[in-house]
Amino acid sequence: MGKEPFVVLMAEDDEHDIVATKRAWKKHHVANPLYIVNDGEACLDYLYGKGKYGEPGAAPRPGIVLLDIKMPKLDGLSVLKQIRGDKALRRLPVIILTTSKAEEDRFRSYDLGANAYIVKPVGFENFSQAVRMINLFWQLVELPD
Amino acid sequence: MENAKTLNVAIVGGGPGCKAIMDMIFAEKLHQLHMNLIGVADRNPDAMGLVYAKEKGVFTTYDHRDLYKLENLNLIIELTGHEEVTNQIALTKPEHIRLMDHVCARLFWDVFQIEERMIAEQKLAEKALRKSEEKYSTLVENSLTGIYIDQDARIVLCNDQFAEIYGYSKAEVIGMESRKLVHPEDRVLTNNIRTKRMQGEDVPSEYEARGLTKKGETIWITRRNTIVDYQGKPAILGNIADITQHKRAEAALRDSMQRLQVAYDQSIMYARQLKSETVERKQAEAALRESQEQYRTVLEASPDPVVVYDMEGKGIYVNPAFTRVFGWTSEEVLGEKMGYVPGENWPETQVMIDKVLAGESFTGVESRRHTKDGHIIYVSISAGIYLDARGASAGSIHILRDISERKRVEAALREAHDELERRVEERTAKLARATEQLKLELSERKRMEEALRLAHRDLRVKAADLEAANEELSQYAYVVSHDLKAPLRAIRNYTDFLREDLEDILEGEQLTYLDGLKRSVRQGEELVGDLLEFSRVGMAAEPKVSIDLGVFLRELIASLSLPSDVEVAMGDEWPTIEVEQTLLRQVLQNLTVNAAKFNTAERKRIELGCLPTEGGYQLFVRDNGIGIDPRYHDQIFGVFQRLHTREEYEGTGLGLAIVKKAVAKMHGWVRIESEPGLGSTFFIALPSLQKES
Repeated sequence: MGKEPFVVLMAEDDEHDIVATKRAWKKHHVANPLYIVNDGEACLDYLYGKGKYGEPGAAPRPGIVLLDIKMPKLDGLSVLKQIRGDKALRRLPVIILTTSKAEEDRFRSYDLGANAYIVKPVGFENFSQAVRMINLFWQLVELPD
Repeated sequence: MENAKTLNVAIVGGGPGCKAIMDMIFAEKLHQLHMNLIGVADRNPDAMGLVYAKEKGVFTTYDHRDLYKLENLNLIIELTGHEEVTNQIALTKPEHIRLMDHVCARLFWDVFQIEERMIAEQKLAEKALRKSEEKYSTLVENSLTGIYIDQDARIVLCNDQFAEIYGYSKAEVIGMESRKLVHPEDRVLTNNIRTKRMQGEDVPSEYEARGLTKKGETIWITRRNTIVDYQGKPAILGNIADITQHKRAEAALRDSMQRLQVAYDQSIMYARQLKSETVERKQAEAALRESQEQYRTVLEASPDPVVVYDMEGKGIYVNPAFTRVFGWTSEEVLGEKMGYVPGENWPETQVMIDKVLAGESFTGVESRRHTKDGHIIYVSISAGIYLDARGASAGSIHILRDISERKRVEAALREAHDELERRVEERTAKLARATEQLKLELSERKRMEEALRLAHRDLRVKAADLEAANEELSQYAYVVSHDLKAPLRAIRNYTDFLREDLEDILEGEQLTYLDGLKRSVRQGEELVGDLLEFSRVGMAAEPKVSIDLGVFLRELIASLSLPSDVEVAMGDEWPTIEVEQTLLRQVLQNLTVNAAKFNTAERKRIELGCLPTEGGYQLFVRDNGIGIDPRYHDQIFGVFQRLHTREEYEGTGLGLAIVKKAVAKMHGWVRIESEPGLGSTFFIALPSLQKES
């Protein structure tokens, strides 16, 4: 304990879910900085520090990535694949946070190396609790780097 | 006697010894010595020897000195035993006369005795031998068998019989080699046996062999041989008999015995055959008698009149039925010609009689006869020839069935028949008209059937279209409900956020609006959720799996987490069925939840079971809930159909629609039995619950 809170990168396209997440962050006084990207491409740009994230400090390295599957341009699983394929990013903890209950998505996520697969709880209360728990968990855990 | 020495002897002492010696001398037992007694002296005139000498005419004296004067006296034997006498004689006798004193005489006597005994014995032996030899010779010569002695392989002795057997004379045989008399083929045999016998080995004493006659003929000999001693050397004593005839006779006997045996066996066979034939014949006779008895009994019992005639047409026998119908008894007809044929029926009757006597039999010939009291009745006649025990024609047997009744019936029948014909004609005409009518109707119906078939086909097409449309609709509903979920969730969240943030600021009424908004959204979410579920029923083709229905249901009930005041009863016996699991789960889940929900009983009870039916089984879910009015039994399975307001019971009205859709996907059906206040029972029939057809 006594660590610096890590950065959380969230890739999510649904504006309402983003609102709900931000609200949950505030409600539970989550100390971790939250950065949000809206599609798969933007996510990779952020991670590589490319494009509009080229400025120094524009894209602080995240401790964990919360990744939705259904996103425009590049979808979550493709992003995951890229991350796991890149030597520099390989170890990054990726949590798939999605509405999909589908088995195939779950299987594929774990096959591609996701660290966890969480189905977004219905109702905000539950959702914010889940967010809180995710953060608590990853506070406890030793991050790779 | 010519060679014997003559010795003139005188005896002094005429005692018993003297006599004995005198006997001896007289007997001339001594072969080499001829003793001539010329005198005997003794003082005693009564001496035995003296008396004996006198009898024999021999010179006697009382004084022994007288003896000296005897001419040519060679020897004086002194037998007195007195020594003075011996001395005196010795002194006084002339020198040329020898003196044998009593001692010597005694010695001489003993020797003579021994010799005499030997000679006597020898003579006896010789006599005995001669006798036995005679006997033996007689025996041998008189024997019927041939006797011989074979020594050194020659015949040294034989009897006439022996020689005769071989066709020789005795003289020819004696000295002949014995092998000459044996058949060449048997010589080795006989030689072997003889050699062995001579060596003392154990060979049969009696055996048969072939001999050879002088003429060269072969004869059969049986012989009995033994070893004897002949003239100091071993020889074979044999005893033979010619058994040639015997052998021939034996052969002939054997032959005739065989023939006799054959003849005997044959005769036994014939005897057996004859016996069995006799038995058979007796059996046949018995059977015939028995069957005759049976027939007699049958005739007696026959309900039809039966008459038996002899060859001349006289009655022999009528049965009780005859007496009953015609009136005459058996006694009345016996020996009489039957006089019951009406005049006009005679010709045909005669024909019948002739036929029967010729050996033909027939049945069913109709005729008429009188009865005893004059009635005429119609009869149907069957007749045949009647054979006796030996199979010869003995008469005829006639059965006369009374057909009067039948005739009457026939007449009535004919009348009825005519009437019938008339009516039939009438009817036929009518029928022809009706047939025409029918033809028209039939063609009309064909037309209709065709129309029906076409309509049916259309219907099927429409049903297929409908199904397709339903599927499309389902898909659409799925997509829509799926995509509606997210916006609805967002609305609800924002509603929650607003309420949270503005709780202090807003007034009571505005807060109610927000609450209302929240509730609406929730309803919308529920609706969309249920619709999604409904549309998803059977969307993915699901394979059937084999499940134990009992286990499946128990797991399902457990997973529903029903409230504790709900009791679920299940039977113990559940079948194993092939079914789409997900669909079945949806059906039973919804029905069970409904059964618990629409229930106001204090002790809520749900029963799950399997009802046996004609075709198999039906699953049922029974509750003691509020029940459903029969008016709505069809309606309730519709989409979004509810019988209660939201205040009474929550729900979207899709539960039973889901059940119906799922059951349909499983190719089964669902029905309900229910009355308000009496609970409900839902019955589900599924293909795998039906018995194989």
